[in-house]
Amino acid sequence: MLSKVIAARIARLVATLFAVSLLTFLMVEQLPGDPILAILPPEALDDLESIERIRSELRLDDPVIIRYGRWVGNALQGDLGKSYITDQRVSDAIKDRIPVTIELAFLASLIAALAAIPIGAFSAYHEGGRFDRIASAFTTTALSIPAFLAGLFFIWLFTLKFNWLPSTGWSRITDKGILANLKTAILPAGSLALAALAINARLIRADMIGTLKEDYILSARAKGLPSRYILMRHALRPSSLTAITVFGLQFGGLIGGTVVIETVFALPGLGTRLISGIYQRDTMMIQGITLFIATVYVVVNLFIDLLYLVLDPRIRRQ
Amino acid sequence: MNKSWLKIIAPLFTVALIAAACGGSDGDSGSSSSSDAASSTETETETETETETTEKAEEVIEAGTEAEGDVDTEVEEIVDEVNYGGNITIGLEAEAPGLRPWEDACSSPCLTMVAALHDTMVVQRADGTIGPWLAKSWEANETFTEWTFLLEEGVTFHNGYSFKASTLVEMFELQKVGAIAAGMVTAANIQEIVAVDSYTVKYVLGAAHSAFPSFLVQTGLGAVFEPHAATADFDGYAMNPVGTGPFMMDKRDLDNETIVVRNPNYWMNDQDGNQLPYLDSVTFRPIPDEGTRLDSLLSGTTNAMQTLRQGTIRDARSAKEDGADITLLEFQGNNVGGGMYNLNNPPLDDVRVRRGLTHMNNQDAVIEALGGTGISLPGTQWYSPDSPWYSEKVAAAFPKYDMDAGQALIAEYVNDPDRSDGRAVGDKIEVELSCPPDPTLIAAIQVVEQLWSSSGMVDVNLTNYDQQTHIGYALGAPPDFMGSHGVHCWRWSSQNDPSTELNRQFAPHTLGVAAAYGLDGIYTPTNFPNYFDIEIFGWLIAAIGTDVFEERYALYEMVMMRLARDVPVYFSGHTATLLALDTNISGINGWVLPDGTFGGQGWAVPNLNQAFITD
Repeated sequence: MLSKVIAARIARLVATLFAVSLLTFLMVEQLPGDPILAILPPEALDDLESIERIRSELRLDDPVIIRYGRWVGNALQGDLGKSYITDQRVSDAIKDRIPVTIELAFLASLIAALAAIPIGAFSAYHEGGRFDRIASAFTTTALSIPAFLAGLFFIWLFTLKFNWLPSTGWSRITDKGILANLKTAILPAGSLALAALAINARLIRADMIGTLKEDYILSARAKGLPSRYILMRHALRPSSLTAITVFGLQFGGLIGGTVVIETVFALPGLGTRLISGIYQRDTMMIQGITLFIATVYVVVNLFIDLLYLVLDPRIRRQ
Repeated sequence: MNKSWLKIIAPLFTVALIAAACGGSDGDSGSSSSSDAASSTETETETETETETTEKAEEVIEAGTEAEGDVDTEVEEIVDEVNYGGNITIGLEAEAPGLRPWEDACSSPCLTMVAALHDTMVVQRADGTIGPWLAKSWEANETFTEWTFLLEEGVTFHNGYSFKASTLVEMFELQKVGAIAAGMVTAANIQEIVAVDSYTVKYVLGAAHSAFPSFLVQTGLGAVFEPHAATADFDGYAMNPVGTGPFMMDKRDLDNETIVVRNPNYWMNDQDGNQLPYLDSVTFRPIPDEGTRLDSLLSGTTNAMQTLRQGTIRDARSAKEDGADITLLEFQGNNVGGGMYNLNNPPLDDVRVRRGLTHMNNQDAVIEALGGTGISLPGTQWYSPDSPWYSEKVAAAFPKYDMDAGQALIAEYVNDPDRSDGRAVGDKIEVELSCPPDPTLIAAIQVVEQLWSSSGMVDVNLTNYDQQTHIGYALGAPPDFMGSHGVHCWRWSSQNDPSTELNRQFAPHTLGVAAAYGLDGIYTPTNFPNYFDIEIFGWLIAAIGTDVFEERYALYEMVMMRLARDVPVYFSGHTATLLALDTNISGINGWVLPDGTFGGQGWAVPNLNQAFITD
């Protein structure tokens, strides 16, 4: 029974990736203009023979369906093609940049989780009180601020005003160590975390308000246990299930969210490369990175689905 | 606080669009109405041009010095005591996809890096003339078909190979088929490069070109690369270039940082005999967001930055006024913003419509919308008032902002029973006005839209496409390359010799047009407005058959006068550029050539050869 469910989820993943690959390919294909014109500068277009030679070399004269089939076939073997603009292999570009993007998404998730727990818990505990109202205003504001605007605000505050952290650049752990790396990662990760933090804090608050009305919490209070102990020891765990679910979903979303934030902070991640690829009409790069991000997203979702099956017997029974 | 917030919010809307591409326009194969209207004023214009040529030849001695409203930073002799050592980090507006001079398209960020790693044969002086660099001297034969260059001796590449005449011969094999260089080889009509002896090289051209050295200023053809390294690893050279330049590649981390270190064997000394360069290393950091790039400089994350955005120049000026410890090197070259009319697209084939729309284009308001008031000078031609090629006569002839005159011309067309767009007499004309989706550009075309619409005779359809699509619409598709655009934002001209761009941009735009004028096979896809004029073509050919400046000036002035009459293109303002530096960086402004003359600063590309840190 369980294996059938897992097989069905995996089949859904394959179908999703197929749809993503097809849509990505067709959307890029539908962009107006001849891709050769993006490859060659106007000054090099005098020679019509060379245009057709390059078109033939890149097999751009094949029908769309043939090119799509070839691209998908190669992608299944791990070959996402070669950039028309830089001659770099798309898989190499992804390999070089994914550590930056993953680290940003991970740090953002961590910040969102670590900050959301105390905010959510104490808001619930002081429901309707001053802290709760302030936290509510903060989460509402944080939710309404786009990540790139938060990034620019952080640059203004932490770089221009206090000069504590660099505004741009990325120190790789392998080159300069973890401390230097964190100095370059903290502002973009913080910008990215803001909205996730707000959502998680609200979820924890809502769940915890319910939990705090349970009999065993009242019993703990009656025993005279300290509030912090009750909150963290007895109330937090049962109030975190929804938030944990959302954390997982957010991680995939944060990978996509880095696209803009990497541009603002000039970081060498997947997002920067994707944006460059779009501006340069680098079709292979656009298709490859989009497919990769989509794959990460659906795989993370699959993982969460499978985790439900393991953790919750009711879902298994359904 | 409010002001600070504005500084934060403003850059949000200026993310990473490299502005409209370069290009040119010319010639007219437009409709009969267009031709008829043009011919009615042709005789008068030519007479004026001829009578004023002698007078102009005297005026141009004064040109190229100081223009009214000029905001350029003047070149000054470096007076600081030079120091060796140190690193500077430069914020660039984008990453360079590749650093192969003959193969990869290169704009300001790429040029900055390529110039640190490679030397060019010759360089452009601050006054616009060509001066020596790897080529010590040069001469042409009487017909300008053979150019012989004497090369510096004792120059070595970063990998130890010597630079000799034979190097240029070997480079030519790659340049002939290079994506960038091949077009320049064709434009310069280079047939052959011959090593006369170890340090003498001869370029043999297929036709006269009196300004040929100007091609060797440009990276695509003039940057000297090590041909063995390029051949051995064609793709790899993009990441690990090997030139003779003052710096050598140390680390290339795409989209993050590129670090170049001092070339200990660099061939050049300063005027006091000290070996160059002074700096130990330079770090190039691509920072696409304009606001973040400026903030990075102001916070000390970087030491220098480049920008081609008027809004950023304004913000940098404001920061300096507020006490920021930075030096601003501003430069306003020949590059001029504006747009083009596609003559294949009625009603833009009619000169009355083009002139009418141009008259109704308020340049000052457009420049203000672009954030360039007090920064960018209004344009009337390919050349800025600082250029030796600038013509006051053309400036006077170009249609000025005059709503009444513009409306009268449009009304004449609208009420013409033979109007070319096939609409009924009295119907409004309809035009598509398109710019890339940059907020300042959108603001600018909205100003134009309001002005045109307010005439009550023009329906304007505003469109915005990404940069590549924008270019693609103007270019069209092979084999004819006749774009489907209407009125299209564009940039024109450069610091190079007029011939390097105009001869290409004003050639026939289709093979059919070429054949009609007996110019079989001569055509260009970069004649974006699809405008061809056989007389302009003739003047341009004549201008590369003489090296007498006054004669060349007169010919280019005639070309510009014709453009001012037929208006296939229109202008907003000249493109201002800025290099902003920490005040302890010297040697960027006032660098000198081996002959002791001052070098130029164009297009926000710093020459790092003589840069140093003062304390």
